[in-house]
Amino acid sequence: MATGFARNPGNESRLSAVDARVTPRRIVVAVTAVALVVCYAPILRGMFDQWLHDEDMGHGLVVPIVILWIVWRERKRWMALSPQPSWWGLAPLAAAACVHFMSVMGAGLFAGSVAFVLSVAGAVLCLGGPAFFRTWTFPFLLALFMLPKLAIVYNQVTLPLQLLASRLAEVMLLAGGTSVIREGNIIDAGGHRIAVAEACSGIRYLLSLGFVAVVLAYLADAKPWMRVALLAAAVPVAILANAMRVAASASVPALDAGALHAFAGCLVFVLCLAMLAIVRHLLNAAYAHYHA
Amino acid sequence: MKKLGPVIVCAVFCVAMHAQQAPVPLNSLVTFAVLGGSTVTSTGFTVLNGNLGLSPGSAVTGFPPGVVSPPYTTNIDNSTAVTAQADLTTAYNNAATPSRAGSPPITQVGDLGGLVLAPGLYVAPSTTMSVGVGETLTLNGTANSVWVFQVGSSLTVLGSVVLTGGAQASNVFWAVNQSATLGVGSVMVGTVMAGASISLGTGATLAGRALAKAAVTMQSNTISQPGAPITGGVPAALAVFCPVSTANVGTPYNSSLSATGGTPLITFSITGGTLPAGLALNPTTGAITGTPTTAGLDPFTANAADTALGAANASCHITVAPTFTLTCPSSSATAGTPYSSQLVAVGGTTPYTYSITVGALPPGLALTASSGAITGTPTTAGPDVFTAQAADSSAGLATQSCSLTTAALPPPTVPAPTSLSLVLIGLACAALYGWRERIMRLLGRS
Repeated sequence: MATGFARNPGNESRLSAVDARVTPRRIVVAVTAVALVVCYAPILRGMFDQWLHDEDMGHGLVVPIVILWIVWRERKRWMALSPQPSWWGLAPLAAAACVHFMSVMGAGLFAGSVAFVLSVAGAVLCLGGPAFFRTWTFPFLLALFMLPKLAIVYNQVTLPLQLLASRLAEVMLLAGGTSVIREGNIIDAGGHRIAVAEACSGIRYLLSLGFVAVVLAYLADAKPWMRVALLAAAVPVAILANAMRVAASASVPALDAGALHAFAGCLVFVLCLAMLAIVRHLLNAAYAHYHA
Repeated sequence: MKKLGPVIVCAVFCVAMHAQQAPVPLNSLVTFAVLGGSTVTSTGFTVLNGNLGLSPGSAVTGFPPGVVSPPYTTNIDNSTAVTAQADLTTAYNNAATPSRAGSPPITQVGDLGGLVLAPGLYVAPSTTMSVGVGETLTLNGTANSVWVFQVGSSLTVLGSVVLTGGAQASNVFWAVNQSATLGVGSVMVGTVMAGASISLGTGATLAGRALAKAAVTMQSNTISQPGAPITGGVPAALAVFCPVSTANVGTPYNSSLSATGGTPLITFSITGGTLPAGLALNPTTGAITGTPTTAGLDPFTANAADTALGAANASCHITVAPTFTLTCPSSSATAGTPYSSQLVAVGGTTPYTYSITVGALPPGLALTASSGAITGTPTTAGPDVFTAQAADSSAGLATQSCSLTTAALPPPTVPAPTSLSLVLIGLACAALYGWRERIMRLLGRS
């Protein structure tokens, strides 16, 4: 952070006056960063392992990069701020310590990851103050997408999503004139059977599309509420798109495996993004009409 | 000498008149313990130490649990039984002949209880003969003495008929015109030939034969044929013979000690060593029954003793082999997925040869006869039931009914692309969308 201040072109004269204090602040920031990495090294390694090996969580590899890019992109905003250390930062730090302790005692990787994000937030509040914290709110929220799967929630959600995808695909196939027999998550479309397994539940679409929707809103729209709106819109869009993908795989045997299957999955995702873009335009049109 | 002539003639005549009865010719009946004409029925555990025959009927019931001790056999309306019935007719006619060769008939009151009878031909004017409850008829004679009883109607023995003085059961004959009844717990000796039926009460023992033109009914009896009639001299020496010498763990074993010669009744015992664990000897019948529990070689000394205090020993052994068993292969397979399992035989003499005797393996699977391996890729879903068999090198067989259920290949799943690839595609699209104006400007400049 101290480095950012030093590079702020609007405050060069003032910073030159406080050069003597810059070096200690840089040291404090560096020590804090190193301490956080050391304390949370096992947690960070666990998160990294999951991003590498869990096909539902691979997007976690991209999230930190996007966060760092956004922080860099917003550098002029937060470099213009003067740090106002706040004791309020100790509250999230203390909470993070408790959660981290629970994680060590057996609460698992998810709790440890939450503790890490809380610790970073507390450190920013402590060293930079509320103004810095507000500037970095969006990156902090984006960091939620890199948290590991919470097994208890994941297990509760997956099966209903599987069945929902199966039912919606059945409806789509029937609407398209295809004879369908569905037994639970097994779909028989004209003699071609497929199973809607956990990996087909749509949870990947949901997480990935949610993250991309927020980033899309950030890039394309200045209105903060648009990020929440597109995130909310991503949920039904992802579920419908996944059901559409399942229906296509059931009706066209060539799509149930191989390169065509992967291509179809990606194409449907692009269509999801197009739908989100349409939603954004509609919302903007409604907003303009309301404020006209 | 002239005065002695009539005396000598008279003496010769008297000796001729008092010559003993000849044994009844039994021919093929010698080896039979029971012969029936219409039915042979047993309830409970009846032991026959002699052949069982039935002709012309075919309804033999109660065997098992009744047993015909080896080496004797059951003959149901076969040539042996037919011949035996013909021989019974001949034997009965011989025994029932009023003027049969030998000593003249002795008229005897019907109630034989408490009497001691010398050898001879006995006829009852009342047409019935009986031995009451608790009464004993004693037949006193030598080993080659012969008794023939002609009963015009029925014979009832509720007490005991015993032999003394070396008399042999094989030389006692009862020709009963109608039916014979041996009461509960009665003891009877001799060959009983009935024109109609013979009925034995619960626990009655007969050292002889029950030969009937009609039905024979038994209830937990022991009937031991005494061998061929003795026409002179002393009884053959008592000898005891070993039971079947092989058994398997867990498989019911049923054999018996057998004896020849001697004076009935004969009792059996083990005087040295022990029978294999799980087996027990019936001292009255010699039957050794039970289910062996432990593999191994068990030597023992079998002893037979008769009522004339004769005894015989034989060194025997029973080798109990481990149970020759066959284990089925894994019972589940999946169509289209390679399957590998094995039939496994244990307890026999290696090497084994495996086969499928009934039914067939699922299509796509094959059995290797030398190893029992079942391999291949099943092509069709469904249950398959088959009987597998293993043969060992000593002609032992083990069979097992097996089932193998082939499940259909689960339908393919349609997983979504990985979230990493989705996000990368999404971010690329988002960047294009977010910076579309800048990109368009750049394209416009160029």
